[in-house]
Amino acid sequence: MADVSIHNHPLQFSKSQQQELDSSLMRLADRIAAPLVMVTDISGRLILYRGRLSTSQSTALAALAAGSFGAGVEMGNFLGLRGPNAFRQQLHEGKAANLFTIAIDEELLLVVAYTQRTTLGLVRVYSQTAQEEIMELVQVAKEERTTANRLDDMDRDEFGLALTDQLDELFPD
Amino acid sequence: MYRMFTANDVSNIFEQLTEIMTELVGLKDVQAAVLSTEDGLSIQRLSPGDPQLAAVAGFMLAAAQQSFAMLGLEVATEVVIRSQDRQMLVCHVFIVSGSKAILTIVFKQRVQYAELVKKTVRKIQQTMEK
Repeated sequence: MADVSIHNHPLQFSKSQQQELDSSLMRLADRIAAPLVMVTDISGRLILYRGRLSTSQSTALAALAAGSFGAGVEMGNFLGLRGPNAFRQQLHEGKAANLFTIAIDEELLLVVAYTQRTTLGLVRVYSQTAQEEIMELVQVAKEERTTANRLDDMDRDEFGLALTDQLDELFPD
Repeated sequence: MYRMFTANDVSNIFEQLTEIMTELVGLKDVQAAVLSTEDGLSIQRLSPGDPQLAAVAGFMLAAAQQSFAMLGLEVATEVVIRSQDRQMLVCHVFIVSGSKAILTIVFKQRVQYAELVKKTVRKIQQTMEK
């Protein structure tokens, strides 16, 4: 589903981006009366959480949700469902509550818990709205990451050249 | 039940949609009505039969859209089926909160339904797009 570099360079959100992300999650939670909404990356790194769990519980849940979603994607792989046909949503259904997960781009997951006092249809509509809102932030964060990586590479190249020059000066032929 | 999920977790939007649909079903010509996603998942539910009606609406709309596409026609936005004894099923597609939704109404008899559908759709959009 994702490139290895995603794990080496996870998406970073600025403070204002985090505030927008938070507003998006709060709006979603309010619309569907969700007791838990979170954004995690596919490695299980918790990005943002709103709900009634403690920090350690939400961190663990993010990791489990990412693992479960990854397992689902691999099951799809067995069925030949890859690339644009890969599974993008996952639902855990129970008698009292359900857990719905939807992929945001290729790196993030939106996890939503909802009770029987609402419907999957309503959750789907508003999760897709939130997904689109968050996708805009992801695009900006991705561009910033690309720029930062390029600058890092340039710094490394410059450092390499400077080091070579110094070594040449120290140890002339 | 774990205390994370409480009986107070009630969505205002869901409650308001229930009110709109209850009012609709209360009309003398209306036998049943449901609001669903394009693929036939209930957005709101009043009776145990609603998920089935929503699923049927999703299926009919998909069939109608495929038929229109095969014939090179425009995108289908409404499906109407009439029975011999005057019953009528109307599935109307509209956009709400950026997603396609279907309002399905079963009428007991043939009626002029366009204005009622338009009014109900407007109410649903106002509720869901707050």
